[in-house]
Amino acid sequence: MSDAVVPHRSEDNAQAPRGGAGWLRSALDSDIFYSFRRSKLTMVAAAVTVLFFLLAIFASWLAVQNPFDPAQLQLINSRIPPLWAADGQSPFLLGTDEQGRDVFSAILYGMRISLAAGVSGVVFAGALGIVLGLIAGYFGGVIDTIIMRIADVQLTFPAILIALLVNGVAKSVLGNRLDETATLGVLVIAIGLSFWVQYARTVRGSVMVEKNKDYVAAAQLIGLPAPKIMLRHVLPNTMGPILVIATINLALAIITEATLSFLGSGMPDTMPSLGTLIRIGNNYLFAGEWWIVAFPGIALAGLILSINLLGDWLRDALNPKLR
Amino acid sequence: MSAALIDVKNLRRVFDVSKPWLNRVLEGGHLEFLKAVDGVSFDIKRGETLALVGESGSGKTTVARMVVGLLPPTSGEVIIDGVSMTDPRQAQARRRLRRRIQMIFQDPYASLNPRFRVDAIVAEPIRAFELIQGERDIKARVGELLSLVGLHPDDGLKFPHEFSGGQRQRIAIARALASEAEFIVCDEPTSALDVSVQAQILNLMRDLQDKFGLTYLFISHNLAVVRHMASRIGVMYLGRIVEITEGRRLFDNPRMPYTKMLLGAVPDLAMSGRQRIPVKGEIPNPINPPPGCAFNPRCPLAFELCRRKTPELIDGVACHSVNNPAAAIPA
Amino acid sequence: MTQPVLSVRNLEVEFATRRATLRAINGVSFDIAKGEVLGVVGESGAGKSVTGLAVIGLIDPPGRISGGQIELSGTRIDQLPPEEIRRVRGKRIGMIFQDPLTSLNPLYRIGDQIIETIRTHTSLSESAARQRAIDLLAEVGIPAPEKRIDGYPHEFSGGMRQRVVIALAICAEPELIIADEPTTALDVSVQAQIIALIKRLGRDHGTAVMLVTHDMGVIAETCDRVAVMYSGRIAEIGPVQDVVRNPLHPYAKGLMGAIPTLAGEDKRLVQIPGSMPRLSAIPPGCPFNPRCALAFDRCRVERPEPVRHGAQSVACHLFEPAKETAA
Repeated sequence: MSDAVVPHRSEDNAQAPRGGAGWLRSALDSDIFYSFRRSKLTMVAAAVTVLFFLLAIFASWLAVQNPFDPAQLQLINSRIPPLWAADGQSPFLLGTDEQGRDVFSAILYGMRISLAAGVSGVVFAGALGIVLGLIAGYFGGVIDTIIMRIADVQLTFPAILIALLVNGVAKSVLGNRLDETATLGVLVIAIGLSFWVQYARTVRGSVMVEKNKDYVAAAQLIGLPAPKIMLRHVLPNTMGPILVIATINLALAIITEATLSFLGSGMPDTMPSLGTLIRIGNNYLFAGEWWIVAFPGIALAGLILSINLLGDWLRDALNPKLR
Repeated sequence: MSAALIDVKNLRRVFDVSKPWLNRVLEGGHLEFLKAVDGVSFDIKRGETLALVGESGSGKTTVARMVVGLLPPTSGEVIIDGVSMTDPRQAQARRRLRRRIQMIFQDPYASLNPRFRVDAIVAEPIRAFELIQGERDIKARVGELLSLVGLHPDDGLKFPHEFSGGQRQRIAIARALASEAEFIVCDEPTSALDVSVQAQILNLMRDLQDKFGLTYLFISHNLAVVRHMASRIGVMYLGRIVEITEGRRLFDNPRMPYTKMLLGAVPDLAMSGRQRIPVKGEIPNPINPPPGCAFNPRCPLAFELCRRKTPELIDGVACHSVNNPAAAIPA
Repeated sequence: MTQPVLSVRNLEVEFATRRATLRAINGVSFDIAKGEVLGVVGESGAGKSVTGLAVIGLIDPPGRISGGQIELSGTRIDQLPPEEIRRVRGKRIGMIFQDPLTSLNPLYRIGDQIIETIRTHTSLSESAARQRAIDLLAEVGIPAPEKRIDGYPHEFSGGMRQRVVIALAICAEPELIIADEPTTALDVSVQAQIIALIKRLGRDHGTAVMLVTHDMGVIAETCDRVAVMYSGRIAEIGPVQDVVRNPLHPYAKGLMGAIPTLAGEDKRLVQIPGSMPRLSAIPPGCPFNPRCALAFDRCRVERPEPVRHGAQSVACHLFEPAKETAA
């Protein structure tokens, strides 16, 4: 029906206050923010996510010790249960592990590692996928076929397998020269290489739609070179779905890093991420020291859940058809 | 031929519509080609409006895209002001020519980048061709262009979604004028608009033509709109021009049976009760068109030659029964 | 006077958005008699499609019918529960939409869809329903219907698909057909065939037809009467000859002059300044007043009610009834 009068977004936006007092007011007035405010669950998820990020960023101020510094660990403090238990001791809020490491501090620092690996992995995967998808979609033909067939082949493996493979190759090539920071770098590359496909496919799909729109033809008519058209005109119009994927992928990337670390091919015990902490704690679970594994596990689950909820909401909010 | 600004010679465009190679190997099937445009020639004089009219699948939009250089022709030539749009040796001259050719598109919702402010959209050709230096002067020129098409200079600060379809089409016209174009290809510029808005845009386009001496190639499926805008009209059917003549003559005295049928099919607002030829059949599949004259299965005058040989465009009409009445023995 | 098939009185349709409640239809009244084709014409956002959807009870939330009443052959249908209105649709009201693919299920043979509809609404046997389906396909001009009945929708061209949809719409012998832009997606030559078909069916079966379109040419070809809509109201309604040749409402006048015609001279088209207001910004008084060259003070404050003027009815302060008839 050409003239269904059901008001759509653009009409609503047209009345949003503009100019002067500016973008903040129009952002607060926007439909996305409105749908955000209407969903209590999303607001809780956002609050939890922000809280986790803040805890990770300010870990060194909040933690009672630096769990990565062996000099600060004392074996006399090992295996202390949480504060509220009978044998709990201040300042070890969530208890300590067998090396006398404060679990709360370890979670804060571990979350920093996990988030750093996740965010960098997503950024790397996104950059790689967007560039390849843009090239495949805009030029088509043989270039497209090559890139997308590689993507297809890679999709037949589970992402974790690719990550394990990359990690294994890096370890066998670099061997002992691999210190903690380099391990983190290898993890980021492993995560990036296992997740780029989804970005590439999405960007390619959007580009194939957008490049046939007439605003691209208009840009071609005035003789703009292809890279300029891609970056200035096409790319910004494909960013909506990318944002959604990036959010959901952030959760996946964090899980991948945790899985690798849990399997022992990720972060070492000397610089543990949440996954490493869970692996370490797992050994003590049946000895009754449940807190060593439970709290990192809860932190990881809470982080993943709230990021996923945010991603789900974002997908719905950016897709007017679902509303 | 010095008077013609645009000279199109025997333009052809074939699209490969086959399935991908792997599917062909596995599922069988062979290469399939769609002759979207099959030998189209015309010229347009400076300051004139030539319209190409036709139904879906007639190839009119493909012609438009080839003329402006958005789509390379399979064969044939487009010569604009003496410069070939296809000859690789004239690349230098073609680059200078580009500024003088612009296009207005059918869908005003897709032809403006939704992420750009209107002033950036209109200023883009000015910057690309380096017509004006300095932000202040560019801004002044953009304001001037927006006023010219009936918008307010302050509208430049808004985004496309804040405008109605008609206003967006005005922005698209301002963008076309920004490069100081002389020749504008208009591909169904009003078919997405309401009638009262269509009237505004058609009037604006005619005013601008008078003011700047613009040359238009006007693509449309709407005969009444074409009648209003064009000095000469070419009727297209399945990739070919079947009749091309001066506007008034086409409507007063259509010669090709397809033209007659098309004119008869247009709803008659004046309700004059005029005589009309009833419409027969539908447009055949362009991938597999009938041999000979593509119109022969629907044509009341078709005879044996029509089923065998494609008629040439002679004296503005491509029809065996018109061009060779002696041979025509209606079945 | 005989009872009209469809009678709409003071219809109001509202859409609730988070900023405001928008009134898409504001006090629309019209009748359609047996065998009559009423055209509803207007530009995007005038409310013509919403009017059609309201009649068949297909206004989805956040929209709702907020006032007025709709009667089909004397019985009110605007307050029926969803289950009953669904039975009225299809049985007593047939529908034809712009895109035939929205009415046809791509996974079923067209014959099965028609037979299923026939058997839902009548007591015909399977084989009798199949014969009836073949007759219907023949009636709407599908060649070799006994073969084509087993085809899938994608095997038909656009024009043929629309014919199938028309066969589907008339298969339960409805009293009323609502056709929403039935020819807009088609080429001119096919459009002419479909128009002729709708006209013939209305005449042969005595079905009332409500034809919603933006194309005044189609209206002039097909309809007996026409309603010109503007901003959710009927600006003018009357016999199609009168409204086309001698429009009274300034908007209808402008609209007629704005349409280029084949016979038209090389003059400028009549131009109505501006565009139709958004639903959220309909001016007080007559909604057309900011664009009207003849507007005076009263137009800006008081909403004009429809008044009879010959066979036409027009909502414009310029056509006030004489004092004595008003009293």
